[in-house]
Amino acid sequence: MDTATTFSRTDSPLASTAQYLRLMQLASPSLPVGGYAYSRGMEQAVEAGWLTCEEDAGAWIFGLLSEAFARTDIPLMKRLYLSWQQGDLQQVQYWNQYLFAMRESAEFQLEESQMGKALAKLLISLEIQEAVEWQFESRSTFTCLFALAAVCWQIPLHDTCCGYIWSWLENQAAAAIKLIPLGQTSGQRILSQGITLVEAALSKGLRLGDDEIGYAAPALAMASAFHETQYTRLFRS
Amino acid sequence: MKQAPSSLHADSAGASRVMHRSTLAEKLSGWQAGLALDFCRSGKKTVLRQTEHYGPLQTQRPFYPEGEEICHVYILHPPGGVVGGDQLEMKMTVHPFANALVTTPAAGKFYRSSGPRSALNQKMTVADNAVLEWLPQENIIYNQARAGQTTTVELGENACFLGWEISCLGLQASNEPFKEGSFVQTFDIRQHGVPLLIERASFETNSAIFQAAWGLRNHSVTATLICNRIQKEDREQLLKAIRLAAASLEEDGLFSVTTVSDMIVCRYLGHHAYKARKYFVAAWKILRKTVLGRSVCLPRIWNT
Repeated sequence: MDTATTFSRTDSPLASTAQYLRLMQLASPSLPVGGYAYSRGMEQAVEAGWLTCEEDAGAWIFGLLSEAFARTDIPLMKRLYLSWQQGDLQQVQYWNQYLFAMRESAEFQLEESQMGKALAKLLISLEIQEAVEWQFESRSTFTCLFALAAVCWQIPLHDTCCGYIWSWLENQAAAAIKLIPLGQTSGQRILSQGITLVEAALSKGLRLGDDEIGYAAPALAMASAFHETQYTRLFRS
Repeated sequence: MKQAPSSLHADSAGASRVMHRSTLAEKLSGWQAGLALDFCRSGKKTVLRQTEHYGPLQTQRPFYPEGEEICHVYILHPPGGVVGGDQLEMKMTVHPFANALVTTPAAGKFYRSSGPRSALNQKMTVADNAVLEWLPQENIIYNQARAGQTTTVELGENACFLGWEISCLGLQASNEPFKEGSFVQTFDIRQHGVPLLIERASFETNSAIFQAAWGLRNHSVTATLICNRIQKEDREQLLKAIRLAAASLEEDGLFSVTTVSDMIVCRYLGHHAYKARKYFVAAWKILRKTVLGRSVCLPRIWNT
């Protein structure tokens, strides 16, 4: 694990109560974009017998957080955030396409675009006009719209990334509870341990150069492909 | 069947060269090599118009086992493989309406390096209405190698790329797993500059990926096949047919098929490169029939 202490914030901390609460609103599992409906490969991993207990689920979630998520989602969130902040729509479009091209399966791409479009629609009703053209764009990504909301609500980059990681982490813990299944306390233990890894993941992801973005997780990609034809499913494809 | 030209058998000579190269070439900070191939349509024929090269990357004379429309070429990797510090650049351009099938006569080898990184950059451009089939033999990454392989594909309108990369981390047979070193493999496919698929795999000393349930799951061979220009109405049937063909092979190892940005993407995870190829050839047969309207013509060099 990276030494978390080497990371220091480069932007200002949350300044106001409103910003703080906006972040909670954005990262909440009740955000109506349908995130709870996806297990991100975990349903198939459980079906295949790869994950059978709390320890397995933890290793799956923490490994992905520290490697794949840290080196793919975080650096791209940063670029999308900065592009929105600079009002550079061409760069927004580019990094949005880049992220979409890094989703490894039809299922992962569909999830990204369905959640992206849903978030775009929601943001329009919350008077974020920049979201308008993204509600019908087939390659809208959730990450891109999440970054837009964060910029509009003036949530600093570091906090935005924390919120984004949290919504992923919480989703994965909830999926593990349903699928393996685990008790609520196990889920909380997974969250608690996950939290200790976030700083290092952020630190790793935020300092990557453009040509260092991405981290293929071969079996995850394949699990997602298998999930597309899995016979009985709780989670969407 | 005619015997393949003897110069293709660089492999046996390679073994003795390795020792020589790893001591000498690293001191000389590696080989610089480049190769540029241009495939052009001339009447009905696809001709290899131009072959620029410097350093030890070379091609054999093109041949036409399927008729003049499709040009087959073997690319010879540097004899004995890639060592630390080598910088290899390979460019292939398939011009409008040309058809090229490119393969390699032997596995590509990335040897142990005591320090300097080596890089193999493969830049492919497939112009409007052109076809490139890129079917190399596997890469073998030796323990303690420090190397990167980047494959970029730029697609024009109605261009078709069907290609794969198969990578073996370490030598399974001689029980020399890849445990230390660094190998980074990138696939970057764009059409008119828009990214369609970007995959960056990275294998580093002590990484969790080797054992992780989401990673290699203790397997040493990972492979990806990509084919674009899939008609919407063919997609479901292709996915089904490939799944069925893969299942009927009754091989071990994991094989999956999905679509990414409307391209078919097959993946293999297992212990053997030849099994990866077996799966991929089965998928290639189906894709070639539907997407290109042709039956497969197995490169005969694969049999030697």
